[in-house]
Amino acid sequence: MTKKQRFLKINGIEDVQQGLFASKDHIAEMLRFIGGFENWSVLPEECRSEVVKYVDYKSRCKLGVCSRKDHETVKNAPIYVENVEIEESPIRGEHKVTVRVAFDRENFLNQYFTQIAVDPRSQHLSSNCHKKAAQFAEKWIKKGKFQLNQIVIQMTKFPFEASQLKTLPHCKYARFEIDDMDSLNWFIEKLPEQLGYLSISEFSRNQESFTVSSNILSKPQVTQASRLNIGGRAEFTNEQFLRLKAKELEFDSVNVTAQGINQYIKNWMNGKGVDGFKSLKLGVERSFDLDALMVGLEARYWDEEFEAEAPHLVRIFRRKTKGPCFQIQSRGVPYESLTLNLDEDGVRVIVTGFRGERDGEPCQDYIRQGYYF
Amino acid sequence: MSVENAPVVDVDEAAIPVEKKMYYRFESNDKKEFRVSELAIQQSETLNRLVEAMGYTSEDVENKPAIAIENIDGKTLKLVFQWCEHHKGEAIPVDDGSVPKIVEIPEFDAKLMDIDNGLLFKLIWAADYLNIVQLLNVSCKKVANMAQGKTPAQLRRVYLLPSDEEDEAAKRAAQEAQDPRAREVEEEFEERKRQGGNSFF
Repeated sequence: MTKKQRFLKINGIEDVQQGLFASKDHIAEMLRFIGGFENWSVLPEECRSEVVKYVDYKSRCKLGVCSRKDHETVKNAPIYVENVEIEESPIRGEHKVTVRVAFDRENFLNQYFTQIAVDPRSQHLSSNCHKKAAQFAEKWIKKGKFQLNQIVIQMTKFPFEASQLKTLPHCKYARFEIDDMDSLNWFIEKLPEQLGYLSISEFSRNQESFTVSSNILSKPQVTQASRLNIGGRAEFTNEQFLRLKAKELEFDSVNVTAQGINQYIKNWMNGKGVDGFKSLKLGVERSFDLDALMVGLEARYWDEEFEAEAPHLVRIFRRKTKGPCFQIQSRGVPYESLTLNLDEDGVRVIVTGFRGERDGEPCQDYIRQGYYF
Repeated sequence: MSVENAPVVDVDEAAIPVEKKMYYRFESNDKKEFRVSELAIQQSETLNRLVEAMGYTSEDVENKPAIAIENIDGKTLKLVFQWCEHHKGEAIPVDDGSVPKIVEIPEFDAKLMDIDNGLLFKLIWAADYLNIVQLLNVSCKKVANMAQGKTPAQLRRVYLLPSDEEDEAAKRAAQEAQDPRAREVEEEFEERKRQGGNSFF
């Protein structure tokens, strides 16, 4: 039967709907046309559950309201939860917490939890809506068989005392904007040791007081993260700093000294640094001793000759900083180099030179876009 | 009794001169007989355990009656064994409960499952009963594809789901049974309907 013939027959469906024709043949014809599966209701429950595992969230929702049996099937079938975000939004006189559960890029749900504060000025950190939001998020994490890939927590304090969460073994991306260090400590311990990205910052944005302690910073989730961003002060010692595995690293230094940074660069220069290292941005509260920073480094100051050689690179840096820049060549990898830059904000160490080719000959080339600023 | 030659095995016998291949005989509930290779049977956990427990020799296979599979008909069993022969030797996926389940339907499987929905239903049922993990995966994926992107009204038509009246009758039956779990499901379902199916739980 051609598509056209099928279509012509399907015109008769209106007749079926009006009750003029309701033969089994007509229904079978309609089902063939729309790709139906009329035996769905009599499939064994384990098969129905298997089918639902392949159905996206929106379609599950629609199936779940079709009948009680389908509701139960949908409810019990596991679903992949890729990302959970819990975000607190303090509004005058009201606590609001939003939980966002994402199944993929197109399928997600947002659930809001609100609570009117008895005293609008009160700063109770663990209100009832916080607990409900956390329970809701955990329910979905459990439904997703704890295979969550990303977690984002933006709260003053996470009510972990009542939590049932044991571990998030598949999580690769974690971002915490959180004030309470106990909550942060508790959450980090739930994460696997090999994280692709870890970001820690303060929720209340009161940078004066927010300091991540050496205890938290010594955890493998921090030391082994591929990308580590601490939006605040971090009490890394020189030893801890030199053991970090991050290819991209940013934090405000409290204890790291010029000698520590000098050794970090030397390690990279001699091929003993982090494999695939890209950038280090270190905020500092005091200026470093440039001489101590440069001891033993074969550094080329960015003079007019270098500016003529790498005009794009120089332009990128000059847009961001007025401080001096130096180019340091790798001894281990030919044609690879990094830029060391100092200004009042801190120290930047960014791999900017790589092996290129000109007229068939290898040469030093430089990045042309400021990815790492 | 007819003998189905469904599982056609293209084998270069000269390439494997040492190992003598063993074929088992199975019979469907409508008395169709199939010869299936030992390697293909391994795709079915149920049948594999069965033949291991029986401990048949090559002579036993020929001399004893075919192993009866009493709740699967010949048409379905033919598809099942065709699938097993095509995928023999392939690793059997382990369902560790992880999600998402990523399953691609190979071209051979897609063609094999280009069948009417009645037969597809029987195929799923057979894959489940015989514990053929990957066949169950691809067949369930095919049914799932029918549901993607459809409205509840379309789903009711696609899956021939019960009408509201029929659902009401089920509800009354559940209440009469005084099953606390049924009442819980009932309440949740009514709440979901009120929400219009835009979110879940």
